[in-house]
Amino acid sequence: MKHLLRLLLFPIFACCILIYQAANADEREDDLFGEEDTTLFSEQADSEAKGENSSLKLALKEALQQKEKHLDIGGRFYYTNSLLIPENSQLSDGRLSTSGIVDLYFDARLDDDLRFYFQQKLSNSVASEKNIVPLVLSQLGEKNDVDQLWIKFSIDQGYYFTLGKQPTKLGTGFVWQPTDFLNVDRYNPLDLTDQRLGVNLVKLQIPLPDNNLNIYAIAQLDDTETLDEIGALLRIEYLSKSGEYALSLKNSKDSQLRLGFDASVGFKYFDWLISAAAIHNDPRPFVIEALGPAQFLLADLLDASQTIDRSEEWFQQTSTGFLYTRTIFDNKTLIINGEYFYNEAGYTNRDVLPSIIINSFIPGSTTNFNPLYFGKEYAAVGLSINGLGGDQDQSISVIAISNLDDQTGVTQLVYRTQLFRDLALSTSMGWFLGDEGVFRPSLGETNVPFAEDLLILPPRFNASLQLSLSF
Amino acid sequence: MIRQVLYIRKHIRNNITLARLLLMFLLFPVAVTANTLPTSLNQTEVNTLVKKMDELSRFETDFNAEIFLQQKHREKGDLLYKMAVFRQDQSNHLTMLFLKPKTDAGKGYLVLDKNLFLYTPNTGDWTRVSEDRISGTDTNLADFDDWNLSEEYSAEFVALEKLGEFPVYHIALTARPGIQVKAQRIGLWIEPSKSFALKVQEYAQSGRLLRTTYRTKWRKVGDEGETQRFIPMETRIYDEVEKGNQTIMVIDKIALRQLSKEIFTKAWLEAKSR
Amino acid sequence: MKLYLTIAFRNLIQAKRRTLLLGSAVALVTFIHIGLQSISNGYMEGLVRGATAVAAGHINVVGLFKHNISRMSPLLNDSDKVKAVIAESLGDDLDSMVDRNSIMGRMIGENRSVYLFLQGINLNAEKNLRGVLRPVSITNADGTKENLGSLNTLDKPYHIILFQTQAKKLGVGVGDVISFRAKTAIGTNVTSLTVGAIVEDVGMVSQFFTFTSRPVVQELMQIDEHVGTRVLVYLKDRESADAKLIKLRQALEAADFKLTDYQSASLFRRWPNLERQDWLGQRLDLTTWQDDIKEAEIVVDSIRGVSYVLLLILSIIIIIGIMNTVWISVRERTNEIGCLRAIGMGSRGILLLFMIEAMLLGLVGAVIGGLAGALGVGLISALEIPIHNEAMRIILFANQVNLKISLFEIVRAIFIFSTVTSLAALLPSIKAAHIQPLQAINHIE
Repeated sequence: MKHLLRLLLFPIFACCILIYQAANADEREDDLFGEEDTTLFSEQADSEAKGENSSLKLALKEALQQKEKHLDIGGRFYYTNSLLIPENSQLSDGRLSTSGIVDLYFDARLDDDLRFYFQQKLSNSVASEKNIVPLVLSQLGEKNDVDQLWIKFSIDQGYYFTLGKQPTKLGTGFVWQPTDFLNVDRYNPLDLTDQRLGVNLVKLQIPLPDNNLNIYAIAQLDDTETLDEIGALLRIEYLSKSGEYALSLKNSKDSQLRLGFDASVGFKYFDWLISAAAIHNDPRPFVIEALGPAQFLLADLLDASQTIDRSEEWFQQTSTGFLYTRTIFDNKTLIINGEYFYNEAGYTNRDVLPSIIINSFIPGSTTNFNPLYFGKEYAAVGLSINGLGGDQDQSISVIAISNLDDQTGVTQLVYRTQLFRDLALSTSMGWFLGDEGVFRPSLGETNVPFAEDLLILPPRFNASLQLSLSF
Repeated sequence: MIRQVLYIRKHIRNNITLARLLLMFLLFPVAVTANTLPTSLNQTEVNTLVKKMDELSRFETDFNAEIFLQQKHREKGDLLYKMAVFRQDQSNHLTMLFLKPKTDAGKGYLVLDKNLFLYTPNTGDWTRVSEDRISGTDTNLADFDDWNLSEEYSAEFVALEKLGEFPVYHIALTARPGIQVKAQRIGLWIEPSKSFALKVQEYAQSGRLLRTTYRTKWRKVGDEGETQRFIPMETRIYDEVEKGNQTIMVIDKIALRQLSKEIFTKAWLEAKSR
Repeated sequence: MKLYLTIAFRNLIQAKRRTLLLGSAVALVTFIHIGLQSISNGYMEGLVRGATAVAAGHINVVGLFKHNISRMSPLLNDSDKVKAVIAESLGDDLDSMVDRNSIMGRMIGENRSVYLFLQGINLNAEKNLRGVLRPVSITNADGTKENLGSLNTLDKPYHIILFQTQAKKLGVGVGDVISFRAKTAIGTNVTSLTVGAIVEDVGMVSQFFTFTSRPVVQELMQIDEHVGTRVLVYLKDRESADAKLIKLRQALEAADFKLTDYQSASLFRRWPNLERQDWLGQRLDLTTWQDDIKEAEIVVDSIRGVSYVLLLILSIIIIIGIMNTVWISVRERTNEIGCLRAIGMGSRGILLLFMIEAMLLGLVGAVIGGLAGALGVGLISALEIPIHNEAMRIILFANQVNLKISLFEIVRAIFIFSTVTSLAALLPSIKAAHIQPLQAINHIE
């Protein structure tokens, strides 16, 4: 009986299936064409139809936005061990320093036009007590800095604002960036990773793609207490088929004025780069004679008789160079670059070097010693090969930088490899060349009260090993 | 069979009430009531109509559009992209650039010498890909291209039918022998006043229905004069073999204007994705 | 000699604990070696059997046809002529030849779909395939056994044989209708197929291959009934495939067929490259079964690699163990050595004495291990233990534990391990032989 019932039911249900399927197709059509007042053809015409915001379109837009909206939390950890061996020292006398740096970030992309980014940098550095001046004086001990804290949004997709502490890079050079008017610390090409903190800015970017222009208006808020201390920068970038050109103008506190021009022009495998800056009202004193021990302590060296004030003059800083990039052996990249830097405001008198180094230790001092910008003329050459090894994740690079005034220099060999997917290893070896000078500063026992044990020996060799982990 | 019955029951409950079903069943025979339109077209009229449709699908001016492309897949879930499409019919050029989501932004397709190339910005590679599927969706290159139906197919009038509330001419196309086409047979449901196909059905050689396309929300685009034309702002493609798969194409913005030749080069796409 | 043996034997008996420990270590190593060997053998066997019957012949001749510069289809126009050339060229070495029409496409079930190679075959001509395909047998509630369909289902039009995994993935049973959609030379085509039989999996190939009758595929591709896709050539000796491939290539070229360049890799992998080449018309592509299973051989290599590393470690442990044991034994018996030397035994005699002891230990251990290994392999094979884990099935190419070991391999293992043991004893034995008799007698423990 049951079977019979089933037998009877089957054709009924088969019919139902057919009707259901027909109904299904009809339902689709009913939805689309069912209403009598459905407008099939919208006569309203314009040259750039934006399509009405139908419910379907809005739903897709929303779905896409949901897809993009997310919060990324992550970080990077750098563990670095460095060894610096000064002149006439044994390997065992080398100064060892160890640092651990953690960058933790929150990256919230709320939608296409709104992004919030926060990055905290925690670092702990330990080094032997006695100082040998390395290229850049690194601060020891525990530090906890806000590296980046910015919000980015756009108005009408035509005005892009980035507000807050943010990383920035202006200029085209790879060793010298005279037109980088924003960063407080100069870029050091010998560092295994760039650990400079972000700068506090209000940045407005207006791209004008039809004119191939990009305009930036930037206010710099670091170290400002009153409104008139705010630095202002205007930059116009022009992109043409053959290259990029940029003009910048910056006015900062003490009415220091800086003008910059950057260009990078591609020609076959070569890129020609130039960054030129003209500086007026530079508040830094110019030291013409070595200072006596008592004067080391002056916060403002202008009080010393061995210095002169050159703030009324204009100085130029120009770096020019080339970049040659080629693919070799199918998948490896060879990069050769060369750069020449002329620093009109630089020193050629190496006698004043120790004075300036020591003075730069004094809190509140206006001098700061950076071997890459101390002298007058420099040159650098570099060669690197990327994509080595079976997994193409190894690279080797060599760089040599020299101060042409005092014939000192440094050359560094860096090897990088990816140990695991998220763990990278970088090792470097550097040799300091030449007698005494910018790259090999030397200072015997000083009588400076606060720095009796400050012994500066010219460095000869250094080696670093860095493990970086991203998570 | 029990499973089938349960399946149907569930769906009937979910979708249509029995009363509605009955109503449909009863109304079916009297559903087709045409108005003043001629109820049939002769062969010449049919051929002219198909030719007109070809012409309407072709653009004298270049066009660029931003579209949403959604693929609903019954197993793999949904894919959703926003992309920019650049088309130049005179030279048969086509470039597509992915705008969103971020993970796919910068990817691009380029038609060069009848081959379709995919650019992957992460690796900087150009690979030749099959024109049958655009980025995992059921759309193929032909969906973004103009029609050439009158040369590829022979047309035949079927009937004056109703598509929802609208009267349409149903025309059947059969591929002419020796010509390579995507579908062997095509059914077209054409709106009589403007000669646009509102519904398209493609059949395989075996006679099986492959997919159904609905084109709605037509809108006039372009400046006053010759170049003005209607474009369907929304297109829905239903996979009739893998039931449940569906592709939706919605035009966000569209403009008819002269495009620079540079857009149709590898260099342009590479530069765009940087 | 008998004397030496007796002494060695007695010594072994005397140091019972040590003998037992070392002997069982040697036995264990031999056992493990045989076990691993049998796994890799069994895997290879299953792989080759499955692959050569289901997916490919010993040599495959595929016709590739390029309609235009960018589109290539698998089409073989003159399969009769090709077969005639093959038959003439191979002569008695040829076992059989079958024609197949294959096409890649999507098999679409009610809720799911899979990408498959649909092969149109003439099952009556496929004796190798018939030997491999076994309909799944299920036990009904009332205890009767029933097969899920029969292989003869292909005699009926539009029927298909699915492997168990595929049926499970698609969620279909015998009698259900599924669709197959493929891109053919004339565009996309779809056909409906009824599941006629569900057969037991035969390893990884079960994921990708499925069978229907030739006319179904020919109709799907819209080609004449004499047009094929490929010819599967079965040889009497499959190991000679490499040599025969060269012979066949020459014969086919002599008969004016155009061939693709030979590369030792499966056609599937080379397809994109071939499609990019700029010839038009038909070319024949020849591969051997080794080429076709190249990717899967990695598993064999890795099993072998692991077993060799393991073997090395175990051997080192044994060598150290034996050296140490013999050395202790030498120390303990220094007085005895002195006595033996005093009553006239030469230093060579002493050497021999210790060597024989080690050899005896090694041989007995290895024989026991070898026999246990052989027994274990035999037992496991007889039990036909099914593998339930699908991933393991794919990796191991079989749906039951398949082990295989030859007598030669057992003897070889025994020889290797007893030799290793003896060599390990050599150094301490030499030292024992060089002890001065006087010093030995006076040796106080």
